[in-house]
Amino acid sequence: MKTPLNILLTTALLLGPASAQSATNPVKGNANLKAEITVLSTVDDKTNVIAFNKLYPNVKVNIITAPVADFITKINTSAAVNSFLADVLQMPDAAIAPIVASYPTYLADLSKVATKYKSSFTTNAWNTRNPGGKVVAMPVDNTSMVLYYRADLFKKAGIDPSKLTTWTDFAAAGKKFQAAVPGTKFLAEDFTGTGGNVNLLTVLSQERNTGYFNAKGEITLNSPEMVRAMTTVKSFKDAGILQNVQGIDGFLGAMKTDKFAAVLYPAWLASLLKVFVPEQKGKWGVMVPPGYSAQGSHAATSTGSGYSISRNTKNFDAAWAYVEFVSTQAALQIAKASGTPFIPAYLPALKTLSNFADPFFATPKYIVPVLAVSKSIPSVTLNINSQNAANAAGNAYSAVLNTGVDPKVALDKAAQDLANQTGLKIAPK
Amino acid sequence: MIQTHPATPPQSRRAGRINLTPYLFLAPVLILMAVFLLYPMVQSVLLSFQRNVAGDAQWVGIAQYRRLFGDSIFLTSLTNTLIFLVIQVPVMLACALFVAVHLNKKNFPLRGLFRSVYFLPSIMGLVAAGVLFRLLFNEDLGLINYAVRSIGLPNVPWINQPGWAKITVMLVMTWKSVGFAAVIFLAGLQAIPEELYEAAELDGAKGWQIIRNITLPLLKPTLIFTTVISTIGVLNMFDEVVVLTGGGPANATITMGLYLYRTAFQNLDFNYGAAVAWVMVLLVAALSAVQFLLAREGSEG
Repeated sequence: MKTPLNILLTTALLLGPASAQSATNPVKGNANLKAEITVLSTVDDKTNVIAFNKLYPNVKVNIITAPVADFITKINTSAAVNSFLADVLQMPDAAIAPIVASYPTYLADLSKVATKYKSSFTTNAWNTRNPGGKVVAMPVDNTSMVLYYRADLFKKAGIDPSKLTTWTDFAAAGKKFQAAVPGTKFLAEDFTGTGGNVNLLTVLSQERNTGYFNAKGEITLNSPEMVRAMTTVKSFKDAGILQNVQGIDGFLGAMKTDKFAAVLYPAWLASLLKVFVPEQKGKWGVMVPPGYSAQGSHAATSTGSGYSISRNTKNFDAAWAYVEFVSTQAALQIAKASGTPFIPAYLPALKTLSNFADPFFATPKYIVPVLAVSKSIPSVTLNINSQNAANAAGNAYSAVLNTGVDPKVALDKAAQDLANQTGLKIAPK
Repeated sequence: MIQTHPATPPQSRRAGRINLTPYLFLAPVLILMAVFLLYPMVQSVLLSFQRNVAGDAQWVGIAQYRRLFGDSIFLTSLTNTLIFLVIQVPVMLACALFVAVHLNKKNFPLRGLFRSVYFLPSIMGLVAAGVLFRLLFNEDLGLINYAVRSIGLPNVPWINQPGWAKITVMLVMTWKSVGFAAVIFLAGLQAIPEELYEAAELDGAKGWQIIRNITLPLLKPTLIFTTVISTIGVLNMFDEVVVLTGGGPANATITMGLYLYRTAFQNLDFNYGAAVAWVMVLLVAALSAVQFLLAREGSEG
């Protein structure tokens, strides 16, 4: 007769391997996983949830939205008091490094489940969301900088976008454009630089492999390469080819009224263009930005967000199932279901999606240039002082574009202000 | 005769016992104040003497305050705040007094309507006002520059040039505050006896003489009140600039309130933010004390 202990041991031996298997599978799903989770996000992302529930039908997902302007404040305040906000948190890049540094117990450690995906993201995408070697977030949206352009306006001005391979070509095309289409400026930029929104400077500086800090953590905001980049920005302003678009309402208003023909923006804008300007179907093209030389770097990155899990969650498996799915498979599933996918940071999905065609765009295979840029993104990592640095860069940008201050003078002041504020040293030139 | 112990006088009996009744009535408010006002104040003072290192608090003495006075952006925010204080408050009060004096005239047509019209901006949310004026003052698309262009003038860089950005912020603040201040002045004006004006007119006084010799002296308590309230409002200014200009261009409109928000809630440096907050408190207290002292010296003189 089997003793209860033998029965128990036998049961444990049989169930052991089964219980050791992962509860999540982003491709096949898991109908046995049952839970209810909350997700804090800037948008009510129903398409991701619908795609997720096809694989995990018994995991109920409740999306909690917060306005973009309040989002970082909400997360920061919650981290400061270690309160539970939601199981899954969409983490803006600018918020991750400060929270990991100041409140290391706020976000769940994902090293055991997420590390296997590290090589499937660019170094920059992974390190930005997982600063200091800790694994706390999965990259979601693609932040590669691309050039969005109005194909119809370019055609009207006789400009062939495929020939804009260098910034010299770009500047010449800008002048030609202004002469042909006087009521519209060539390139949109936010002259105020508020919040570090300095897209043109970002692209120009990263193509020269320079950022706000060097590997030692010294300030490089006024490095010779950064000054060169800012001087190029000023030359575009002086040539009269830049349109000032302040804030999101200024940007949308100018877009809708054909005030500009091109804009540098992260890849994630592509999925929002249909929402912003549905009436401009067929007019917008996407291309790799120009570079300093045709063979040189054309790659730069901006900021986006990742998905993290609260350390205080009671539904880790379900939360991880959602994070894993959204960051690796959601875009593919949405594309298969004939929806408009967001452009993912996950490289295998990005490669598959490069064949995706959307007739909304004048260049239907609009993800191809994103993949080209993503392959050679420079390593730019955010840290606890990155937001201060971005604000300082924005101030210098504003001084140059609005009041004509010399780029070197503006950047020297910005670097000194940042040094005063943070106590960091300015890198020797 | 039955001898009894002499009765204890009522005063002696009450002197030995404390009457708890008033304290019991005050207790709920005092508890709420202690929890939501006193405790956070004490905590923020303690925060300002500490630093956060990987989640642990370290005592650093006055290091955060020393850091403030080497921080060029904080000093810029302090300068901007004082510029707004020195220019916007007197201009706003003068406009409010002008409006109140005219609204006080019995023969002013549609008085009720104008009172409402002037007061309406003060009940509009600050963020809504900021968004509205950011659209109106947009250099290329805004209605104000549309009107400017229609009379043959070039676009005004309302938000893109440092000097113009400061003017724009002050215009919005004045638009928002004039109505409220005018209503307070109106109440003060209506408390001035009519006989004084009649007597002054009989003596041949006119217009500005009446205002200078009768209205302003008798309106002094109201003037002090509105000045102090406006000063506190300007020193705490945040909503108007965060939406309208974001503190730019190039920190031209950053205020101490906005700098505090960025430091504490964007950079997560609550310790440094606490130091900024307490400098603001001390500045408000000092300026308010100076204003009260000047007002008292004036009345004694």
